[in-house]
Amino acid sequence: MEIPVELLNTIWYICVYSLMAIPLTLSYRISKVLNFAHGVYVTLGAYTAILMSAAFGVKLSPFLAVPAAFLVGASISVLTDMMVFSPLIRRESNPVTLMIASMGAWIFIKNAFYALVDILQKRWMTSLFYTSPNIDLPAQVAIAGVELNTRLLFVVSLSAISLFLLGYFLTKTRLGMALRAIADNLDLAQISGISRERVMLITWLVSGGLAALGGFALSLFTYVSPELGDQMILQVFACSVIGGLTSIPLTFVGAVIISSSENILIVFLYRYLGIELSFRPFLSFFALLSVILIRPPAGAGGGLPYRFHLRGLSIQKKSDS
Amino acid sequence: MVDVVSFLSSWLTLFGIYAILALCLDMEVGYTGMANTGLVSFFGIGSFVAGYISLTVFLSFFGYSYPIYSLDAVIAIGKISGSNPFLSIGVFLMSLVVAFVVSGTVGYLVSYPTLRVGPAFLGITILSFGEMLRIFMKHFTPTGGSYGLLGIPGPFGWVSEPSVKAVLFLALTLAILATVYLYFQTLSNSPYGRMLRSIREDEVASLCMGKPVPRIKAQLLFVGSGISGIAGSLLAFYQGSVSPDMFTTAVTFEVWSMVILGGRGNNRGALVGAAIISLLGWSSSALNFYLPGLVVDPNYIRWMLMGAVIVIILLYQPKGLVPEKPVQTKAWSLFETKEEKGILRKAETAVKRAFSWLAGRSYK
Amino acid sequence: MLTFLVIGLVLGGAVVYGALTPTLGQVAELNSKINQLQQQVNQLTQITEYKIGASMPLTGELSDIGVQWRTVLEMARDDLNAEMTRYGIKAKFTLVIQDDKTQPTEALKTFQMLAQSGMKVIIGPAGSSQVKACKSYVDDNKIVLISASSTSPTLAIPNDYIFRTVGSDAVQAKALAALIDTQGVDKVIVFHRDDEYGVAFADFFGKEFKNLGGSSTVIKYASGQADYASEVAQLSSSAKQGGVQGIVMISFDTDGVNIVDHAKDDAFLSSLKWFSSEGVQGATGLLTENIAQFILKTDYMGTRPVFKENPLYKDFATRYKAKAGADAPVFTANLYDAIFLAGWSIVRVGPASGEALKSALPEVAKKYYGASGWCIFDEAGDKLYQDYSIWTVKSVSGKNQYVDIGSYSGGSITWG
Repeated sequence: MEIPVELLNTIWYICVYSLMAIPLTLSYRISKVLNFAHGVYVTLGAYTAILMSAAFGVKLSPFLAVPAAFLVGASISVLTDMMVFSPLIRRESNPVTLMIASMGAWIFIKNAFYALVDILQKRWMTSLFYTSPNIDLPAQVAIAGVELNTRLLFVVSLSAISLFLLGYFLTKTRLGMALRAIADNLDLAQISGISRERVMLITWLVSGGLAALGGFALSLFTYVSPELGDQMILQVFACSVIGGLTSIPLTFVGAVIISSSENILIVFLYRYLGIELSFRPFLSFFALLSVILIRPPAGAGGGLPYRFHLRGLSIQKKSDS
Repeated sequence: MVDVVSFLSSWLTLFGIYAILALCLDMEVGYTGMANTGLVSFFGIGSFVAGYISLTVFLSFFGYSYPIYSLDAVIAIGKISGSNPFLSIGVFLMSLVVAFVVSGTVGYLVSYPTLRVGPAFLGITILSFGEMLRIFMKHFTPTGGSYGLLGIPGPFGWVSEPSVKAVLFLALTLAILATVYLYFQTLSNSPYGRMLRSIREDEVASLCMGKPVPRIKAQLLFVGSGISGIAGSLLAFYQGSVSPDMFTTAVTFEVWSMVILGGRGNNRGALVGAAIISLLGWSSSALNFYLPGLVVDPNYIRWMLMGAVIVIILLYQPKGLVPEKPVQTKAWSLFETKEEKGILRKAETAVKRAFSWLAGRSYK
Repeated sequence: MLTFLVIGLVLGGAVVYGALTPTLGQVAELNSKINQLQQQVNQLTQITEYKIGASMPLTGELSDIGVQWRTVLEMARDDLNAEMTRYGIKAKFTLVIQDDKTQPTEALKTFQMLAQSGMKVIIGPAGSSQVKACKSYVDDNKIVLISASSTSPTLAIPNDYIFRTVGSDAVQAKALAALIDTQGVDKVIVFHRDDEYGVAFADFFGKEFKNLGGSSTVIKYASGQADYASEVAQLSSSAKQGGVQGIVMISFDTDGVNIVDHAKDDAFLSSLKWFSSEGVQGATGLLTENIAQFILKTDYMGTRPVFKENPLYKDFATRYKAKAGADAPVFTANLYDAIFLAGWSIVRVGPASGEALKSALPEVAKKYYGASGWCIFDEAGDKLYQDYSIWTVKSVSGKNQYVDIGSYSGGSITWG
């Protein structure tokens, strides 16, 4: 059976977008910081495998690359928190200030990474600015007599497992429930003895790590450059916003919607309405706008930081999940 | 050595244009709490309107019928742009007015759907709208499509000496900046300004007090977008060319940094923020002259420095550099104590404060 | 008695002094002569330092190739200084390279910064929309702009300060059309970027190909995206529907590699013949094994603005490869020559006057044959004679490499 390539691409993108967008929703929901440096975590994750395989000159095992990418993303994320977000939150800054600070961190980390790649490229004499990791995975694998693309299979299982683990973590473990408690009602959670600092650390760790995995997944699909994070950031935000910036299942729905509009809808529009293919980026935003205009997401958890939280009173619906 | 006059005229002109944008954004975000993340789209609309009108008028006035984005048009404009001073200035003023009206109207219309999503998602809505507009402009042939427009005739095209031209344009930009600043100061230091702040602090309470909140927001978005359009026209005339790729979301983020660094809810703060970010950009590019031959390319260090400075300023002054002051309407002056009146006194206190800050002490 | 002694001593002193004075005078004269000679020697060996500015895309969409161009600029500077020493000219050039983020407004700021530090000739920027942003500034302030990669025909304006050491795509479109015609392909889809470069090229190509009796349809894709999987999928269906025989890809390096990477997984696209412009030539992404298979299957060929038989180019390409470890990508020879043209113009008329440099540059270029061939400019300040090579990727002693397999010159193609 010939699976149309549009559908395959859609599946790739659903996995990749959900791995990138869900940690963004998570980090916003718990820390109320709209983190613009999120795109950089994605780039770093994509480049971990690339730099590792270039440094050691070997084909990298994917089971080594995945934890490595997670670790790199998580550590940079935690570092950013320790140096930028936590001090500002301790000074009780405005959410908008935090957003701009995250932009400053974004510029800093991105260009530091550019400088690093530049230096490494000169030393190793290989092209690193637009490349793909050397991963030890066979091209095709036969399951039940059907030829499947191994990389696609790997990425689908990676996302499924990661998201399942995340869900389990958030709903069944004590630490996960502590995270959700901090998100829903900070004062009550702190009174019950939950340490805010610890929760924040875990959040940034998980969020950075998952975003890095998303980057790694994308690097298996296509070539990446240090601009990757910036090129994807708006679509990733679109997915999160469809999820109301607080609901993880809805973010996944957002990933499905954005991914379909980019791969399937554009094809329909091109074939039947003659709309140029170069309108593809237009479509993601169009999809986003349609969704939030038709069914505005409930401002659970306060919505975007530009809206101030009415002191004490919460006129938000119960957050989903 | 650096040519001081031309350095100042180029830096200050771009500073002026961005300062106008920062003032508009500050009015929307700082005073009214409306997160306008699509600022660049109104900026871009203004630029394209200015380019379109000036090129079309010039070409048709002199009897050419080339499409405005074609090579023949550019060559023709090159010949005629300096010939008629009245036409240049007239077209300039007309472009400003039309840009204001068009950008303002678009801003006003954009406020409608945002009412439906509520203030929470205002930001992302306008941002998406901005991006959609940019991609649309890339396909819209009458304004050049992805070619953009070239050879836009400036208001001082008839001046032969280029440094004089630059200084004149700078004076014009600063004059417009001053007007906008005074206008916003008057607007904010009045009962209307108080109303804007009340919307920021507590929208529901404002509504309960009977203030027509959606209407005010739409009005403000009209004015803010219109003035951003004027800034866009200035950029189009200054640079002489426009293209859709000039108006990406990165511009919006830059202006947001200016507003937040300078201090929200504060017109002076917007100017300070614009000055800092512009100056930072210029001074860091000087690094390339003094740090050649490093292992690390100095260009990357430059951008790293910009990001670091933003974070550091915010770490030490999270409210921005210039703190917000109470609304100073005419009635307020009746309640001011003698201490607070008087410019000289204020200057005196300011100087004393500066000295004691330098000395490391706090001044009471 | 004492008086006579004193008088005797005084008289004796006077006599001795009188005898010595001429010698002291000679010593003083000799000293001043030595000083004069020393000054003359200093003047003769004094080396003036000249600065050339460059605005390169080191971050942003063209950063991949921008950093390679930076290497070329440094190589050109070193070679130029070596040449100055060889000829005994007292000049030394230093480069100041500024990053313009591949954005138009940033390019303008870069130019202003460089111009205000006194530079009157600046190399760059890379993209045509960036050149347009700088045009009114350089024309007003009399700064010579030399771009080695802007090929948009809408900038072919006479009597301005913009010079381009690369030929217009109007001619390359002719070359590409001729190439496709020799392969016996009549029906193609032109898959091109939606920016100035892609749209103009596709436009010209369509006309030229029609003149040769072929037919083409265009599919435009958005530039600056991270990935083009869905566009390639649609390309495949359109190609199937249209019954085309070939695909013409007009792209930059990163999007080109991405598109080819996706196309190799598509059975139908791999069965067609593929052609491309120069954008993707030199990208290491096309040298990987699986893509090399695709290139073999599709008889992939492209054109690029280089005259492969030029011995100066061959020398340049070898040295670049030794320095950077990769094949010289596109526009490198044009960039290399741009530095030399700028340097020699400065030596001729001095660095101070932009107007003088503007008149000197075409004169220098008229008689200059460099790595990119004859550098003579036409009346619009663009390169007059641009030859094109036909390139592909082949396995040479076990490694995949870019090879030039033919050239297009004066309207006809010669193979080999």
